[in-house]
Formats: sequence, C-alpha cells, structure tokens
Amino acid sequence: MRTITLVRHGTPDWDFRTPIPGAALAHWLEGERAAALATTQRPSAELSAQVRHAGCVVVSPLRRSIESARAVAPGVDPIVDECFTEPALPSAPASASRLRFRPGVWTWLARSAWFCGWSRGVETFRAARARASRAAGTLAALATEHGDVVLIGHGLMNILIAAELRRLGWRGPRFPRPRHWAFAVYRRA
Amino acid sequence: MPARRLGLVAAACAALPDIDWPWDLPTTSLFSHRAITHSLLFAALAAVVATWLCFPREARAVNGKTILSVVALAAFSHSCLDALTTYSYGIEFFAPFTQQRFRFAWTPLGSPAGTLGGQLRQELIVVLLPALLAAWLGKRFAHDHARSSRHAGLGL
Repeated sequence: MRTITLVRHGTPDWDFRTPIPGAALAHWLEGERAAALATTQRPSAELSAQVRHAGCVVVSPLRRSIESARAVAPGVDPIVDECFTEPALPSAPASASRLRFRPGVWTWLARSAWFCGWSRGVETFRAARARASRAAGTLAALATEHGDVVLIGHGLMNILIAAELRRLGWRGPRFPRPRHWAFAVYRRA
Repeated sequence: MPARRLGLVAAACAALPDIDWPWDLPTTSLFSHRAITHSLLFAALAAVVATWLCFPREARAVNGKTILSVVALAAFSHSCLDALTTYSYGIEFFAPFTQQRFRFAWTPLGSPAGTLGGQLRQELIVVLLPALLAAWLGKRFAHDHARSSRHAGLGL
C-alpha cells in the first residue's frame, strides 16, 4: 500500500489581525510570502510519525513550505518543485476604497473573485487546476518510486491536488482540512 | 427553529440590497446602485447583524449557523437574481475589493421590448416558478424526514 500525505504548512510569523485597506493587500501578501514560520505552533506527533516513515518529502519553493519541512523532518533534504506553489491572489486596483478590514476578509474577497474568473494578470483558476493535475501526476510517480510520499504544501493547492489524486484512483478525504499543520492521507494498493 | 420569524427576516434581508436605489449616485461611487450593497461582504455583514438582532438566543444555540446561512443566502440571492438581468448596471459582487461589475453568462431577465408585462412573465418563469418548486420540495423533504425520525423513535 502506497500513501501520499498532503500537509498544510505551519503558521507564518505574520500579522493577520491588523486591518488594512484593500489596495494594500498585494504588499501584505508579499510580506506573508517572505515571512518565517512562527515558532509557537508545532506539528503533531502523528504528523511527525507519518513523515518519519516517508520515502520522500516534497515542498513548494515558498519559505513557509520549506521551513515547515525543516520543522517536521529535520535533516531530510526535500524535493522542491514550483508546481506545488499556492495560486497567487489578484490584487485590488490602486483606486480601491480606503475601507480597512482584516487581511482575511480581503483574501476571501480576492479568492472569490478569482474563482469567478477575475484573475487580473495572475494565474487563472483553470490554469491552477491544470497545474494541480500535473502536481498529482508528479506525486503519483514519486510514490511509485519511493513508496510513501509527503507533500508539505498549501491550503488551496492541496485541495486541488486531492481532487486530482481521487480522480486517479487514490482514496482519501475529498477536502484536506485547511488548518495549519493539518494533513490528509491518500492510499492506493 | 422559529420558521415564521426566519422567513420574515430572510425576506427583509433579500430586499435590503436595494437601499442604494433612492440615491442616484454615479457608478464610480461605492454606494451607487448595485454596488457595495449587492456585494458578498454586505450579504455576510447583513446576515450577521440580522441574526444577532432578531435571533439573539437562537444564534448561540446549535442552529445558529443554520439561521445565519439562511439569512446570508437570502441576502445574496438578491444580487444573484440581479446578475441574471440585462437592464441596469452589472453587480459589484466583490466590492469594496474591486468595483468590477459582473453579470452571469445567462441573462434571461429583461424584456427586449421593455414592456412591463413581458418582464413580469419572464420573472414568473425564471424566478417564481423555480422558487415555488424549491419550497414544495423543501416542505416535502422536511415532512418525510420528520416522519422517518418519528418511526425511528418508535423502533418501527
């Protein structure tokens, strides 16, 4: 029995609470992209055990993904692949209102608009799904080669990859939980 | 669940987005017709406020999320139905993040001849009949569910 474990990275050490104007979202996202991992939250013992038994650990090139791999599997040299990166969010026009909300409200609105086709120069939803399909193929090939594979990736990309894995015949949850450090295991005989 | 009160609050929330209508502001304004009051954010905020004001006790109970979801869906249904029209402006679904206006790809509402009778006929077919069908199916499902729960309780 081979397994692919989809893990969401740990919490970045970044300010998720202070309200910002919509036009500042792109700047806030840049900061989140560069942020190190918060040291307050640690991966569960269950996840650590899952990673210990893995034949291969895969990450995206984003800092929070690489540092999460270091935290959960110190000493392991992970495979870094661009195709596991989280799809970017479209940014608001500079003329957007000056209303201030928590960044979570803006990311929710931006992601909703993105799902509806408003991508404004970033990768489209359709392209992200195609990339998720390639990513699932890569993970399946790595599982054939190494046995158990762990991807320490991102919330939405993991959901898109999970759908593709299930389409390829892997069995596991339809939606991996979106919490930081949450994980879902996909199995195939 | 206080069904009658919920129905009234949901209906009020469904009508609420048109509070922007009396002020004829330019389309660039966030408060112009079919702008922020027709957005996802407004529907969510209106649902939270309406649930908190009209169902203070139930909001903390187990069915609080159900009430909130029903009211939010009712508020947002207004914008979705407006997006099915060919007349007036598009909808600023994602305001204040972006003031891009949207319509659905299918816009069956809005008589090309512009007659009131034709428009009402379209709304009857596209809005009222599906709504009545959904209400009938919902009632039937609730009735079947209650009956099977009663039978399970009796050990039948």
